[in-house]
Formats: sequence, C-alpha cells, structure tokens
Amino acid sequence: MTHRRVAAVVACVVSAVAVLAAAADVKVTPVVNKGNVFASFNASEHWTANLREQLQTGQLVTFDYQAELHRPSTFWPDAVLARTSIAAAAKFDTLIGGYTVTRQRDGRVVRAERVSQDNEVRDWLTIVDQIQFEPESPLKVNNEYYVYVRLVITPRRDVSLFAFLPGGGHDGSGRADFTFILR
Amino acid sequence: MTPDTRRRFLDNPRVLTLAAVLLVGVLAGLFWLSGQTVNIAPQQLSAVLLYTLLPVNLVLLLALVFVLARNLLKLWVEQRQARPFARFRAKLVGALLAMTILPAVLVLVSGSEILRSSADRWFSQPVTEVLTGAKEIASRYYRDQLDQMMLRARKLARVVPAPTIAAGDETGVTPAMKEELSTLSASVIEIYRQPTPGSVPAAVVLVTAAETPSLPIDRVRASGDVLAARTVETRTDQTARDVVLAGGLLLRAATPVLDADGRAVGAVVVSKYIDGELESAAARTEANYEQYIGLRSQKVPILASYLTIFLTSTLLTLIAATWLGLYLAKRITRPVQQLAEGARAIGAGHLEVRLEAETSDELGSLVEAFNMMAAELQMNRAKLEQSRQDLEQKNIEVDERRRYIETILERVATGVISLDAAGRISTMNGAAERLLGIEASSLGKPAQDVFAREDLRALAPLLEAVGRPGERGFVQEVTLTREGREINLATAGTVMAGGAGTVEGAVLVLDDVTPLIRAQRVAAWRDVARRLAHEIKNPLTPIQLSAERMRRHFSGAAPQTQALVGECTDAIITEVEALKGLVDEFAQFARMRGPRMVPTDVNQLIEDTLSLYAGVLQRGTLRIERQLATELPAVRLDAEQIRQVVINLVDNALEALGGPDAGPRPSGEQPMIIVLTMHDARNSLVRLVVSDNGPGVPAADRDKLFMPYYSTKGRGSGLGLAIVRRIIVEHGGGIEVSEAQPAGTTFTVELPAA
Repeated sequence: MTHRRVAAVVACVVSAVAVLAAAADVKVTPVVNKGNVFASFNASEHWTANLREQLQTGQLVTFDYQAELHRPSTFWPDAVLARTSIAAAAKFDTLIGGYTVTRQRDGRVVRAERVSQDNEVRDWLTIVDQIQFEPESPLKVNNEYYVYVRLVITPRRDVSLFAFLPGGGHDGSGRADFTFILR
Repeated sequence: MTPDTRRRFLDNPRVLTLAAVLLVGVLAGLFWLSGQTVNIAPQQLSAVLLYTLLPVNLVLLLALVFVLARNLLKLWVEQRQARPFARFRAKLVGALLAMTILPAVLVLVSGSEILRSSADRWFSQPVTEVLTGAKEIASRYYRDQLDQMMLRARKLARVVPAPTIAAGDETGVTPAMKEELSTLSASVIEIYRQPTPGSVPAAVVLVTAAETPSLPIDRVRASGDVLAARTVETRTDQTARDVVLAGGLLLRAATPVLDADGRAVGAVVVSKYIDGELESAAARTEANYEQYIGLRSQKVPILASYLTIFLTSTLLTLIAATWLGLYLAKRITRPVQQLAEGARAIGAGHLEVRLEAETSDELGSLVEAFNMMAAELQMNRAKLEQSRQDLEQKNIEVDERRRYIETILERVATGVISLDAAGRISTMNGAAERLLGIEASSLGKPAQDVFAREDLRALAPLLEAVGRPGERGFVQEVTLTREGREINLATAGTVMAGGAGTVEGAVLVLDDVTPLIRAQRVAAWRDVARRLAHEIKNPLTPIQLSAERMRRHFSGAAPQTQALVGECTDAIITEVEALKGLVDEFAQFARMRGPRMVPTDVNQLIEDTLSLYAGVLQRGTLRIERQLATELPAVRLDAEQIRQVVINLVDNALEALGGPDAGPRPSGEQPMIIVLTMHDARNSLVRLVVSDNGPGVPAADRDKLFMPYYSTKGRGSGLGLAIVRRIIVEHGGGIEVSEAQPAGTTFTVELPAA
C-alpha cells in the first residue's frame, strides 16, 4: 500500500480518527477503512545514539511490537479483539559496512533488505505502516475501541527490576482510542 | 491445622528430611542452571532467567522478611508478656540468626563483589582492544579490497558509454572489461543494464560478465544482480559480500552507470574472491568481536542474571538457615518453656499437669523426671488430703467429744477446775463456779489469787498439794463457809504429768457432799429418834400407871398428903403425856413414809395451801404476797408432803414476824411474807421461795436450822425444818436458807422439774 493510498484512506475515514493517547512514547494511529482496522506505529523516540552505537557493534537489534485491538469495558478487563506482532530487526555488517534489515509479521519473515544509510535503518525499525487487525467478530459501529502497542527492544543493556510485572517488561507503549464509524 | 498438628508435622523427621532434600535439590538445580548459562544466549539469559528469578527472589525475600518479622514479633510479644524463658529464647534466636544471617550476607556481598570484579576482568580494556583490533584488521582488509573493486567498477562505468550498456551491447563493453580484468586476480566483473529505466523496484539484466582465469571456483553467472539492482535503484555505490557455497566469499562493489541525464541505466559489479581460509578467519574474527561486544553490552543483565542466581541460592540458604535456627531455638526452648509453665502450673496447684516428651534426649529425660515429680506430688497431695480429711474428722470427733465432755462437766454437780503448769485456771465448769462462788472471769488468773478469798482459804492445802513436786494426787474433805452456810466439799487434786514427767497442770475436782452429810446426819438422828422412842416410850406407860396408882392409893390419905400426892402425880402424868407427845413426834420423824410423787401444778398447790391462811391474816397487817411464775412446768411430787413443807415454812415466817396480828416492823415496813415460784430451765429446776422481812436468822445458826431438835423458838421439838429438809431431799431436791434483803430470811426450795 502506497503512501498516497494510505492518505486517501485516511481522508475517507477522517470521521473515524482516533484519539491519540497522550504521553505515549509509541505513537499509534488507527485507521478504519471499509470495515477493516489498520494501525501505524512510530517509535522514533527510541532511536537514540546509544541504540545506533549498539547497532554499529554488529549486534542484531530488534524492535518487537505487540499490537492489540481492545474494546474498553467499565467493570471488566478490556476485551482483546485481535492482536498481531511485528518484529523489525537490523544488523550492521562490521566487516564491509551496511545494514541487513528484516521484518517479521507474526513470526514470518515478510521482508529482508540491505540498506546502507542510518536513516533507512531508523525508519525500518521505528515506523510500522498500516498493520491490519483481523478480529474474529466484526466491530460494532459507533462503539469505542482502542489500539494498544507495546514495544520491546532487544538486546537490553540495562535491567528492570519490575520487568516481571504487568507492563514492566516492555520499553515503550502507545495507545490510541477511536470510534468505529463505517462509511 | 491446629498448632499441635502443625508442630507434629514440622517435627516429623520425614518432613524435615524431605525439606532438606528439596532444598538441596533446588540448590543443585541452581548450580546446574548457572553452569548452563554459557549455552544460553545473553539476551535469553537476561530475558528469561533474570526476569524469571527476580519474582522468585522477591518471593523468597518476602518469605524471609515474613519469617524473621513473625518470629521477632513473637519474641517481642513474649518478652512484653514476661513469658517464661522469653529472654533466653530471644538470646538464643538472636545468636542463631547472627550465626546464619551474618555469614550468608557476608558471602552474598563478597560473592557479588567477586562476580562484579570478574565481569570487569572479562570485559577489560586489553581484551576489547585485541578483539576490536582484529576486527578492524579484517574489516580494513575487506574494505580495502572493496575500495579497489569500487575503483575498478567506477573506472569501467566511466569508460564504458552508458548508451552502450543501456542498449545491451556486449561487444561494446567487453574490451574495456577484459582490459580491466587483466589487472585483477580471482575476480569477476559483471555489467548489468536496466531494461526499464526508472522502474521501482529496479530490475536489471546481465549485459556481460568476465572472470579471471585464476578464479578457483566456477563462476556464478549474474550472481551480482541483486546488488546491481539496488545500485541502479539507489543510484549509489553499493557493496556486498556473498558467501560462495564451495567456500570463501565474493566481495562485491557496484557502481551505477549514469546516462547524460543522470539516470541509472545500469551497473558495474566488480567482485573479488576471498578464499575460504581467509574468509573463515575474518568471519571468526567478526563473530568473536560481535559476540564479545554483545556480551559486553549485556554485561549488566548478565551480571544481574548471575547475581540473581547467586541471590536465589543465598536467599534459599538464608531462609533455610533462618528457619532452621528458629526451629532449633524452638526445639531447645520449647521443652524448657513447657517445664517452666508446668512448674508454674504445679506451683498454682494443678498437679495433674503432665508434659509430653518430644525428644528422647536429655531434655526428654528432664520432662520425664518432671512428670514423675508431678505424679509424686499429686500422690502425696492425695495422701495429704486424705490425712487432712481424717484429721478434720478426728478434730470434729474430738470437738464433739470435747463439747460432750464440756456439756457433761457443765451439767454435773461436781465442780471441775483445771490448772495449767503455771497454776492459772484454765477451765472451770458451772458447778465449780456455783460451789465456790467464783465467776468465769477468774479464768486465766492464778488459782492462788482466786482461792485467797476468805471463804475459800480452806482450799489452800489442795493447791499446795498439787503444786508439790512429786505429788500425783491429793484427796481432802473441806468445809467452806459461804454466805453464812457451810458447804462440805470432797476435793481431789490430780496432777497432769507430761511425757517427760513434767507437770503440765492439775485438775481439781470438787464434790458437794453437803446433802450427803446432811442425809447422814438425818439418818443418824432418825436412828436416835427411833431408839429414843423405843427406849423412852416404853417406860412412860408404867410411870404413868404407877403415878395414877399412887394417886389412887393415896386417895384415902390425909388431905394434905392426898394433895401432895395428887400434885406430884399430876405433874408426873402431865410430863409423861408431854414425853409421849415428844416421843410420838420422834416416832413420826423416824417412820416418815416415802413420797408418792405424781406430776403436780406447784402454783396451784401453793394457792390451795395459802388459802388456808386467808381467814387468819384478815385481822392484822401481815400479808402474804404471791409471785407465781407463769408457764411453770409440772413437778413430780407428793402434794401432801410439799403442802406440809409450805405450811411449815409459812408458819415459821409467821412466827418470825410475830404472828398473824403482828404490827409493822421496826423499820416501819409492813410485815410481809413473799411466796414465789420460778423456773430454772437451764438446770431443769423449779424453785419455791418463801421469804419474810422478819428479824432473820444469824448466819451461824442458819445451817443448824435443818438439824433435828434445833429451834430458835425455845419451844417445840425442833423437827419441823428437819422434816422439811427430809421431804425435799426425798423429792430429789434441796433447800437453802439465806438472808433476805434488806432484812429477814429466805428459804429456797429446789425441786427437779418433771
């Protein structure tokens, strides 16, 4: 899907624009198109000098996104309608330079490329476009939903004492609420 | 689970063994796990091991804090409650905890420091420099090769016209390519073109390719197409290295071929073959470098993982040691505490308390000894209780016997006085008080002082006798004069000797034998009277007959003689008659019949008797006053004889007051006779009192009043009061005479109530 088509889809369903979660270090943008829910992520805040330095040492760096489509509930835990995982990895060739990048969707390699520029690697790792959710049951019109994304970056260079707690095992997260409106 | 069940569960050797085996197993598992960490990728080590063991450690830490806090709190509470052995247990627990916690913490701290310093040594600067240098050498070599390849590629891209490549003219590019190839070794040159310029993604086709003869592998035709396509697409120089299946690799450098408009129409790819040995060395260098750098970047998580394993082992050991320390402290102090509590319970009288011996060691023996002691105490207390009950029963019996004896002593007419070793009066019965005229207040006083009274001095020899050393008993008959009358006492003193022959006191027995003596006297007088009656009356009749015969004989004599004889015989006959009357009274006294006693109302008897005086007393001022008690019990008596007693007493009173026509007393009082009755319920007696306010009887004569032939009137036989006494005595009673107040005489007759 090209950027133009994405822009067109966004323009078509502008009424279903999600409310982006505030203070999220992973920006999530849900899009509804013809009854399907897509989400784009941006975790550019996690592209840091340390990470680049880590990449330059030849380590395989992976941005693992866990995206979930939720239906909020007042009294019960929010129901998870669909979930998917995206793993973007990059490895620097320390002998001749250049990066080998791969992307997996739900454990399957969907792309593998070789790039030479840092900004290419940054975009490869931190930007995920138009990931489609496939809920088992169709969403209800005019109902509130939200997309929640957790980001885990490996390898970790530090230790979190609360990694085993819920929400403590990831490096970043983002959430975006939206109203499902079908046109 | 009850505390006992829990205690038994924890004391079960199988449970303890199982727990020990489990602990050893877990520690061995951790040891094995730490050995396996070398086979685990660093990321997995931190992601799985670290984050798995962290909550375990947290739980263990919480468990340790809980165990410590719980036990320390219990110790604190026990100390606040001043429970037995609380301080001892606190000290023991403190010592055991110090022995377990301090070494464990020391090992943890030192081990952590060793791990940290070891990690620093693993990732030391020299090692980093060596590995980085090796990698840089390999990298520099590869990059130099690539730079050379890139120069050749650029050269070709400049030399070969772009339209020729775009047109796919192989012949147009071959000369330049071969010329360039001639300067290379083990290399491949490939020229690609883009059939559709500007397409994305770019698709390229091989125009031509050539390789040096020295290339040791079969040429892989068009194998650089991917790199060429990327080069065309990005219009930038690209490098790559492709592994050759036969071994080694191809270092590739690609540069785009641009037309006059700057569009990429193709790409030149120059590849240099790196043999397997060199490639392997470079690959190892790269791998080692990357692994080292990876490990170094994971230093903190790896170190944390090892520290976590170490911390887990330490915490497990610490918990086990702490629990074991607390458990041992409990095992040591619990029997002692039980003993203390048991001792307290026994001290409080709960002798049924028994302790359960939990071990068979010295403490168990101590518990068994305690139980034996408790059993002995319980048995002894049962015996003591039985003895106490027996003693109490004995005391009750003794008390009853004492009361019985006291009652007897109180009721008997015999006076009993007991003296202590110091001669003080210890006990004294009512008869003694009555006989001696002393009061109960004399108890506790020295007998010498009490008996020093004038009328009791006759008892002095008795006291002296019982006080003499060696004297065991003393019997004496004494006569006391008290209140003007004599009391004959048969006294006996018995010394109470102790077990060692010491004198513990004495008992004085006073028996009033006055009635007996009186009776003896009366009997003697009766005998005399009978003899007198017999000896005197017999000659009286011949005397009287002789006197009458003489008077008849001299009836014919001279008148003077006749008158003399007549006067003499009359005198003889008159005196004989008087003697006969006297002898008859004696005879009556001697032959007086015994009483025929029937229950009689004494008041009614007195009323009937006193009614005889109604006519006699009407003329004068003398008056008889009756003071008769109500509810007087019936008395078994001979009414005729008691009536005679009353008449005798009233007659004596009348005569003492001067007869029925007596005038007022010299004191101006009206002459009066008081007859009263009263009931002495305590002594079961009925008293009849006849009192007058006459001149009275001298004290010295009072006791003689009841003796036969004694009269204060100067006439009569003197047998009236003797007969009265005899009647009263034969009724089982007594009669006393005393001085009336303020003047006069009082006769008191006591008769036993029916």
